[in-house]
Amino acid sequence: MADRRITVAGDPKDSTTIEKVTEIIRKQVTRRQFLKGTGALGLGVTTFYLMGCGSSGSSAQDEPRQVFVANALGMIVAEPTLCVGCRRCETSCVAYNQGIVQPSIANVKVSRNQQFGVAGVTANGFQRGDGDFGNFRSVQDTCRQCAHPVPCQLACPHGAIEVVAPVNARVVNVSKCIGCGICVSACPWDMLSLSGPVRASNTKSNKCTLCNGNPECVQACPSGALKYLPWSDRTKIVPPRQVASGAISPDIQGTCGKCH
Amino acid sequence: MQYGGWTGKILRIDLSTGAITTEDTIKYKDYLGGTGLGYKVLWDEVPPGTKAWDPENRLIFGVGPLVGTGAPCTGRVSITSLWPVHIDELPASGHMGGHWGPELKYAGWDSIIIQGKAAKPVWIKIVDDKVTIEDAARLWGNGIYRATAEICTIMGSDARVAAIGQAGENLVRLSCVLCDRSHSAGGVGSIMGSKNLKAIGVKGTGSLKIAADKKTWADYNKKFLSMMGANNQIVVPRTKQPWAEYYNSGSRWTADKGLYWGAATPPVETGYCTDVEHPLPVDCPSPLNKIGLRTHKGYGDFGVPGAKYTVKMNGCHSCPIRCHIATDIPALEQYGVSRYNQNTCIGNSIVTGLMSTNSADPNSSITNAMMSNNLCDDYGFWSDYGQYSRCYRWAYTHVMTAAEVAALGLPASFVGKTTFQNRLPAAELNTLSGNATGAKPYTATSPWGLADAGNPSALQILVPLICANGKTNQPVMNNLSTPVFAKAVSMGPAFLAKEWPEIGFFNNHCYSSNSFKMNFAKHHSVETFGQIGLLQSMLWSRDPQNHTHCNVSGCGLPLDLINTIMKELFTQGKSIFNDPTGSDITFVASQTGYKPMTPGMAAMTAASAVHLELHNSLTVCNYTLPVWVSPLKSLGYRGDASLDAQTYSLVTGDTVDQKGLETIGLRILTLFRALTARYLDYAMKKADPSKKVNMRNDYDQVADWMFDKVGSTTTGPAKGPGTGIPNSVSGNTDAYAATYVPFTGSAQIMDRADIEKGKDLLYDQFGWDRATGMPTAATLTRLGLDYVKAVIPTLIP
Repeated sequence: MADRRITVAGDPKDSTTIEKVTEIIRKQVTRRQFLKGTGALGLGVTTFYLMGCGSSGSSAQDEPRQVFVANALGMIVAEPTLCVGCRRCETSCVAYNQGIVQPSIANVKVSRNQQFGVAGVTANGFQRGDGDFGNFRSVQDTCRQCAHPVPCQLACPHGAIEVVAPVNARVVNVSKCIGCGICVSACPWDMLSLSGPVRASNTKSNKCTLCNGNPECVQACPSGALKYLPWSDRTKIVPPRQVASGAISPDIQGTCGKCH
Repeated sequence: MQYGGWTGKILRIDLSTGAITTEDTIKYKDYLGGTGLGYKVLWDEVPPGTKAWDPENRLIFGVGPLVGTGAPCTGRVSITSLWPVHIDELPASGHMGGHWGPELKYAGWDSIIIQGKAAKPVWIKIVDDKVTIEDAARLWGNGIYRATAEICTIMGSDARVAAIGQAGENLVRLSCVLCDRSHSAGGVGSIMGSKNLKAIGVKGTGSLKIAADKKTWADYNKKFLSMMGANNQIVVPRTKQPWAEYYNSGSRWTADKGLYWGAATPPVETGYCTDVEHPLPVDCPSPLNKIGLRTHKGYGDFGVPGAKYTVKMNGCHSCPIRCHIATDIPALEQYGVSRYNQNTCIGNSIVTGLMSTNSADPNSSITNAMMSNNLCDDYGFWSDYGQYSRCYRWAYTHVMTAAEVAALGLPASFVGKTTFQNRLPAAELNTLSGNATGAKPYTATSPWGLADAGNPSALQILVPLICANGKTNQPVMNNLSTPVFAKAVSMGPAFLAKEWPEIGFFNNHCYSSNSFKMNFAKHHSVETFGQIGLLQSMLWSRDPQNHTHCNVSGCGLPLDLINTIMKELFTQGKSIFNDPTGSDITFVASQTGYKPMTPGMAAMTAASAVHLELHNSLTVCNYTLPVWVSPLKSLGYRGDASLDAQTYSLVTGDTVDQKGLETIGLRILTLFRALTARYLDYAMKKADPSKKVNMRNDYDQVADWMFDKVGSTTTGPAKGPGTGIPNSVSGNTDAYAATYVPFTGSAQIMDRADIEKGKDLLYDQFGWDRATGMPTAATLTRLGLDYVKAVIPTLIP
């Protein structure tokens, strides 16, 4: 890892090592006092900013666009064997954060796998696969809190998906989100959802915020099937749910090449 | 709509015309939803004389304001209609849990009113506000599993489907509507069949409003959950555990160290699942995160084999108490059915009463039960809460005596043979038993031979035969057909008694029938706090499945503590049902013996009945709520009888206290009373125009076996085929021993004069007239039911 060379700054000729990146990030973080008082300074890293090649017209930004982001500190891990299918996680996620009940925008998703498993229904497919019409295996989908490159964050043309202290969750900044849904199709695990029709007024993207490190879904689960654990990279072990768009927002497309 | 919880819209679909219209929920708000809404729609729109299967009958899928909100136990749906299982087809409801009701709310609908009859089989597709009537030609004739899968291939894997199977299609009276694999609404399947309606698929992406702010709502839910126990609100563990002050061997709080969901991968140990006041280091993060493991019903209902075969405990939307046993029994694959099946309580033994267990196989009981599930949840055959199967068993085994045959006026040739032998044609007996007389020994490979050997494949023959309901124009297994047998079993005991009066005799006079009245099942009646259970059971036209009082009687706390808590609730003015004299309320035969009726018993009876209607209208689960007791020692094991009112107020913003909500519940129950009287009066006048219904005498009746003893020379006023025969005449020995005396020892035998006194006291609590059992004019006015008076003026005292 130490000899992996990447490009990190505005000058494309300037290359450095990952350690130098980390050092730069530390300075950023210290300056912005993101981790003030958390004692987590050694781990670094909330956000690393790169100046993009331009900015999206609809999201005038006072600050540089986030591109390389620090890893999340925690994540919600589901144990399907323990899931009893009550969906209290779904209702709690939305109700206790937003004051309404709407499972279709819950950031933990149980219903869609509940009857026929992750593979979904097929004609005459009952009693063969997973789910309540099969072997009762009910898989709860949770956000992986992806490491860089974060598909939803990089796809958002408005820079609305930000990394937020204290646990570095990838969070939708609703003041920037216009409900276009590009992030929804960018997530390989189909974990984001729109609260209404695409681009309708008040339609916003919803994604897991980790509830500042004390997730409501974890508290709500009556069988301990959801746990809040230190982050680890699960993107390689959980199969994708959809063919992701692979979109990268135009305002940062040129930026990737600075590191890659 | 200004209120939270409700969506504000009700969907009305006329299958005759194809008209799909929307109505404002606000006009039904006084009745909440669920059964309350159902009763109001029947009152307004369905005139007496309408039959259950007439197109003019309404089928109301009633969902209440709390459904889908995430409040505990709010996954329920009440399906109200003219009830095909009642002999006069009086109004009643079937109820189902699962996820269908919440999905309907998220789609933007508070309820669905179905009327008319489609010209050909159809299903209804609801995707948010897009509602269409779809062709069901390729679904008709199929079971529920396949229909659900087919509809989900169209609507998506997360659509929720309520469907009927072949039973409903073939107008089997004992049929149900099922959703989510195993959640059934009993008795209403054939109404969908009569309307050519196969299924309703729903997908909802919308939201519900909660009136309370989000922190208040979150905190309230956690408080509510902390006061919940296990299934049936049992608040102590089954075994002696170091954290608990009490334990009770009858508890459904079965979780324990060393007890596993044995078929989970890997097996899951329930461990101690404590209350919130006794957190353990292993909790994750609190005892509330193990509440779903408390009720290991696989072990509770089937013992060690149940624990071995349980994959997990499953259940309804938003309910932390999981009561459906999801099982994996590999041996079932040898019969060509899935090894994975689930249901709960009586749902696990819908047809197991038709066969024996194989004593050589320790897994026979659960294997038969899961075969029963696999078939009944697909064909959509209803349990009748066990009544039809007790009748079947009796007709199958009881050898008619000369005295019985004489008393019932049956042919002398019936003596010495079973009812099935007497009543079924020789060809059908031959099909069922292997010989034309139906005499034992049965051929080993015949359905009855297999059944007696405890071979689950017997059910694979019997269930299709029964659900064919005598129809021979469709393929039945091996081209067998037993139309008389099928109709007899599938029409239910009330209609069967009309044709075979010995069934009425059994249900009314025989202790082992367990029937309550009118040939329907006893479902938490006299065995549950004596008169309290008995009196509330009189009030409905089916087994009322009231668990309000049951969730106290079985809670596991010491009886004197229960009595103290109930006296606090019902003798100190906290409820609209109250006994200011402070009389004792709860007695149990085996502990205190039954005691004569008290006013306090009447107050608790009234509250039990009204809270059932409230739960069926809100709509929340009455199998687990109310929370009148709790597991919390710090509260002295008190629950909070105002929780329903608090939930309703926080969700809707329509603030009511406990008494206010009880008044709404009494309005709903009283409307149901008037509705029942109106239909029953019509039925009685049709038979004899000079008659007028007296609800006290004509409806609030119970079976005679609860009062009569071996050798009794008189019997009670219960009406119907096979009734009115003193035990001295029939020689019936399936009865209380001649030595039993009411209110002495541990005898459960009831006393007629005491029950008549109980009616007086109960009607007083409701504001109903003692002489007629009808709501008084003043009560109707007080409850906002003045419009009732104009419709049935002669019935209002």
